[in-house]
Amino acid sequence: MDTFQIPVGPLHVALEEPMYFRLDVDGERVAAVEITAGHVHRGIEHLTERRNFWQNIVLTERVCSLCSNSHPQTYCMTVEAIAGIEVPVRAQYLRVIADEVKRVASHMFNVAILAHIVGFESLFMHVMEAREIMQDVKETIFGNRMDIAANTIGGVKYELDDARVAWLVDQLDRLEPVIVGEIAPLYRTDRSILSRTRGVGVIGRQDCIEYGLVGPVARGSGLDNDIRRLAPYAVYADLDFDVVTETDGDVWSRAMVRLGEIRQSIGILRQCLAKLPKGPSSLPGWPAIPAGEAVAKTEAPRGEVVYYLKTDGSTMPQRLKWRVPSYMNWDALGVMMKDARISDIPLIVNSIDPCISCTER
Amino acid sequence: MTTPTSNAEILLATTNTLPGTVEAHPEPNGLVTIWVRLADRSTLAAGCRSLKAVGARLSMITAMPDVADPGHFIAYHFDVAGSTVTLTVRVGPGETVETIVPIFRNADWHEREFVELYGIGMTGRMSMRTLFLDEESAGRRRSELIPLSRIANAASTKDLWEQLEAAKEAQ
Repeated sequence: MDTFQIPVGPLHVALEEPMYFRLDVDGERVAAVEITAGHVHRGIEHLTERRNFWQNIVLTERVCSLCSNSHPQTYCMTVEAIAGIEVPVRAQYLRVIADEVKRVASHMFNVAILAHIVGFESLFMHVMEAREIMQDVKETIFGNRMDIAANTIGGVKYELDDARVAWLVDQLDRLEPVIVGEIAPLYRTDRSILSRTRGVGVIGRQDCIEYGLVGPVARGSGLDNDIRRLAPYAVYADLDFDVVTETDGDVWSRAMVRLGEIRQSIGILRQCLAKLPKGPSSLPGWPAIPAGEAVAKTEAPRGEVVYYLKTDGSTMPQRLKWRVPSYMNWDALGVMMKDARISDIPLIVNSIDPCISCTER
Repeated sequence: MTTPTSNAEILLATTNTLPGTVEAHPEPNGLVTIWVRLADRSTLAAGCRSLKAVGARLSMITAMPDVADPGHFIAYHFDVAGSTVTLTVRVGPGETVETIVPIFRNADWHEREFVELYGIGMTGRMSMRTLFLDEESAGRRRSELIPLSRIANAASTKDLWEQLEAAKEAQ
């Protein structure tokens, strides 16, 4: 059989961000993958050392759009740890609400794209239409459909009055039956979806451990490592939810984890809205940030986001570093793509819910 | 002496055996954050193996300049069942640090990134292929590149042309 090298990318591999793959193929099958990254490396970490602590809330939110809430939230947590700031309980609930709204919208986008790649355009449109409920939620509550500017050091920058709480519950009542009764069953049973995603892009649990994988990719292979449960932050310890896992480690399993997590997120949102305590949603003033260092981690839609901050007592970080879940997931594509059909590559790439803006910073 | 039972106690017992200074901070959620400054960078691999033995996952590696003296610090951040451990080593000018890829496979991208950004020397790696930056800038330190902030502020035009002119004159 002839062996070829095929360049894929850097543009238009199932998404609108650039990544270059050089594939060694044996006939229809992928023998080896080499990834070349760096097309959108912007030096944002360096920029953060030239901005003050408050300017960096805005900057970190612009690392990526889909997990734009996770970046400033985790960053704020490092600052708060160094300064010994106790975030008001109401603000912690509001942070969870912002986090879960973003998670639902992000996961729905990913499973919609899966349907698009499979060629099931009516399902793609159906999921994207349902996702508009959460996009409208973001626009109504936060004033923006992607960068919601919810977080600040010591709390949040948005409020929910009784009318908005009631409206949000109404939106969840609209969305939940569509997810549970229509969308999830289609992904679970439809032959078009199953034939293209079952047994495709497989990665085993042990490989997930070796590559340090996190998020729905790891959980699709049975590796239960949700930071909301492992290292609870904000008020996750007081909320009732299941960590969703599957065992087959294929494209389908990763999609089913995301669909399961959408349902869990809706449950978390309902609990937060019902329990939302009275009190301040942020601390007054701008506290001085002393010299120190801290590590914080949260569960972004794609998995664990880690931030490290070192300060020297000035108004700017001495060093700010972060690592997103896609960072390891990219590297593991070599395992998932091995022996895959060339036609399945877009599906496999999409199944890690890749974020290049996050990865390269 | 009592036998450690909780994950945090096991982790503390493990990190206390590492050669260096150890600071432990209990967290409100029952977990622990531990900072270990290794006295000698040659003990890094042994430290990583000790952590792997108690189930550590490498979360991230942060390299940063030592602002007091020439050289760099490298901080290796681990997650151990939710707790966080950071091992920090110092690498002086002209010194090298050993790869930990044989212990933690996912260290590969992190090491490639800090080598290309800071020019820190490494030993034991199979390949030194750059991660994000063009091969032509391999091994150069971050401070040698034009900061994006200056470009974004439209302040780079003059600097950029001056550098190009200087390079042309040098040829």
